[in-house]
This record gives sequence, C-alpha cells and structure tokens, in this order.
Amino acid sequence: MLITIDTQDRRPIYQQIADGIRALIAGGQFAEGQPLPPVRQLAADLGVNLNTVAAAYRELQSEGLILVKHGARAVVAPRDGVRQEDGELRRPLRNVLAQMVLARMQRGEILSMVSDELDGLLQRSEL
Amino acid sequence: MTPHQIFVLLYLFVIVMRVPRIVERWKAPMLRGPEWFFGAAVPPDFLKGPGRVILRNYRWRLGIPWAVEIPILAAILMTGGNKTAILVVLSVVTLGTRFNYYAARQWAENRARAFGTAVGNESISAVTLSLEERSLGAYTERWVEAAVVLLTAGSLAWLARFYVTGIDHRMVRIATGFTVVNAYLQLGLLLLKRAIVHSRSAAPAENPEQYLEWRDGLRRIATAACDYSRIFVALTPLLLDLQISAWPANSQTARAAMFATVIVGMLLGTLWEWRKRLRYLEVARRTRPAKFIVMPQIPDVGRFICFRPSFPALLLNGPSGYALNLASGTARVTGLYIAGFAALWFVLVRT
Repeated sequence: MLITIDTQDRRPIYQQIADGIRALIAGGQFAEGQPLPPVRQLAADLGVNLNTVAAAYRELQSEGLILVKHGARAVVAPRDGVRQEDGELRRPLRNVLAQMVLARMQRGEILSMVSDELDGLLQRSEL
Repeated sequence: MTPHQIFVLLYLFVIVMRVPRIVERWKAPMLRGPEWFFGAAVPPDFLKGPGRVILRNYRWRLGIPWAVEIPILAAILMTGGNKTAILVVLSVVTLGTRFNYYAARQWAENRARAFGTAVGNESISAVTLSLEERSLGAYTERWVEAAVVLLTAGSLAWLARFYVTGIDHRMVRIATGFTVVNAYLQLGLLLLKRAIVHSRSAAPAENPEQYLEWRDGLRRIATAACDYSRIFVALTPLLLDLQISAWPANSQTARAAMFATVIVGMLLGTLWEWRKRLRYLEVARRTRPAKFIVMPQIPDVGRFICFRPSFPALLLNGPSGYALNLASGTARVTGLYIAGFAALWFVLVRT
C-alpha cells in the first residue's frame, strides 16, 4: 500500500495524503478494520508537522472513511457506515469536470478519462 | 598461551573477519554496473576517463583507518600489549572505519556527479510512502531474544552464586560492574535497533516497490548487526564469571575456553550477518538509486541544529539546508541515554 506525495503539487500535503488513502480505501487495498500507519511514522517519513498528517486523518474521519479513537490507531471504517448525500458527491465531481472543460478537453476525451479511472478503481477493488 | 598472545591472535582474527567488508567496499562504486558510480548516473566509459582518478582516490581513502591503526597497535604490542588500550583502539578504529567509508563514498559520489548524465541525477520532488506500520516486532527473531535472556539470566545467577558462597576475589566486584554496564549496553542496542526500524523510509515515485525492498533489506542488515552485538554483549559477562570460577587452579584452561568461545562466536556472527548481507547486495544491484529524497522545506529551521517538537523527523529541511532536530524522539532518547551512561559510570566508580 503506497501513496505518492509531490512537494510541487498544487494541493496541500495533507490533501494529498487524504486523497491517497481515500483512493486506497475505494480501491479495496485498505480493508475494513485495517489500521492506518501512526501519524508520527507518516510525519517522520515525509518530514512534515504532525498536524499535517493529523489534518488528513481528520478529513477522512469527517467523511466517515476511518475511525479515530483517542489513544488507539486509526482504522478503516466499515463500508456501510459511509453514506454521503447525492449533493455532497456531485460537488467535487462538478469541480473536476469544470477543470477539464477549462483545460479545453472535448466531451469524448472527458468521458473516456472518467471511464478509464473508474475502470481502474473498480478493477483494483475486485483484486 | 599468555594473555598477550591471546590478544595478538584475537587482533589477527579481527583483521581476517574484516576481509569480506573490505572487498565489498572496494567494489561498491561499481555495484550497479558501468552506468552507475555509487548512486550517480555516469556514462558507460566513465571509469576509463575521470572516473579512474576518482576511484583510485576513493580506494586510497579507504586505507586511512589502517594507516592510523597499524602503527598505534604495533607500538602498544611492542610496549607490553595493554589489553584495555588494544580494545579501545579496536573499537575506535571499527567505528572510525565506518565513518571514513561514508565520507569517502560521499566524496567520490559528489565528484562523479559532476561528470554524470542528466538522466538519473535529476532532483526528486515526488516521494512514495508505504502505509504499512514498521514495528520492532517485525524485525525481532525469537531465538535472539531467547539467547539474550538466557545468557543474561546465566550471568546474574553466576554472580548470585559468588555472593552466596562468599568467593573472595577482586574480580567479583569488577564482574558485577561489568554485568550492570552490559545490561545498560543491551538497552542502548535495543534503542538503536528501534531507531533503525523507525528511521525515515520514503521512495522515489518511480519504481518505489523495489526501492522500498532495498531499504528494508538495509534495515534488516542493520538490525541483524544489532542483534549480533546484543548476543555478544550478553555473552561476555558470563565468560568473565567462568574465568573467576576457574581461578586459580584452572585459570589457564578457562582463558583458553573463553578465547575459543569468542572466536567461534565472532565467526558465527560474521557468517550470519554476511549471509543477510549477500541477500541485500542482490537487491541493491537491481535497485535504481535515488538522490536523498527532498523533504518539504520548513521555514525558521536553523543551519545545523533546530528544536521543533511538532516535527518527529530527525533531519529537517530548512532554507539553509538540512538541520538536526534535537526535539525528535531519536535525539531526545540518545541524549537521555548518554546522560544515563555518564551517571551509571559515576555511581560504579564511586562504589
């Protein structure tokens, strides 16, 4: 289970960590109940503040993807506990689509890219 | 066999044990084939051009500890062979040899990079991290722990026997102190092993699995060396106890047995470590090296040292380069351990 963090990426580091873990959970590589690495380990590996990693974990917790208990390791939450509203799911999708349109991508290109990514995600989750 | 002869033989044996490591360091620059010089990507004919001089100088630098060690030890042996002095020289030189190798390697790699190719030497901004937890348990071998516990318990039982039976020997007090110091050394080696397990592990975004496998191999060798040292440290008080028990009638036989045990122990330990090392070298040969992977730059970090409790890393990247974070767990534990050692030494000398 690997995540990649790029210091030249526009997204803040905590966002990249959260996105990476979210993708692993969605792809099924992180199973329900599986513990996440300690905040201290990730912060030391990256050379960042403990709060940066904690912020990523807080974001995943607020989305219901992980469970964080005081004094214990964060674990991946059961899937049936993750129920997001339709509007909540559409908002980030709309943002990404807007970026693609602004990048002058054609409808076919956008659909193909979305389809590829979805196939990849579903394929990983079936493995 | 006199103690003097034993020490000369022991020293010769230490030299023989060093041979595999010398050969490895001698060949280390070309480990990954002609397109690499250590971690620097170079043209294939590099060693026919500027690389020849760099390689020659690197190899000369490897000999510096020998140039220091041989005359000093020769002088000590010719003037009676003080055992403590020989042990001090051997320990300092062993440590110095390691640092000298790192310095020589860094020097050679930096020189080679100046003649290197663009591909392979580019700076890395993307790092890949493993989300598996690195715990001490994953690097623990049960038989090592059992051996350490049994040997320590054995020396404690032997010491208890001395005090119960009232053996009058000046060495009993020394053996007690030796056992206490060795127990503290055990703790230090365990802390060192923990620090190695938790040391930074980040890979370049390209081919991270192999890079992480290589890093893990390196960690396993270092932890194996720690374990080997722990067994050896646990064994030495027991050997001293054995010698005291045999005194005065069979002290010669006891000394010979002690010498044989040390030699066999060193031989087995070196073979064990070497077997792990060969496996690691195989992975290292296949792994594409990466420059020290860049960490995000943190403002307000001093030039050489800093104190940032909210950053757990030992090294932090500041505006003027990397600085040692004295607030990191590793730095704090090291400081406490050194202070504890000084306090223990003071108490033992006073009593």
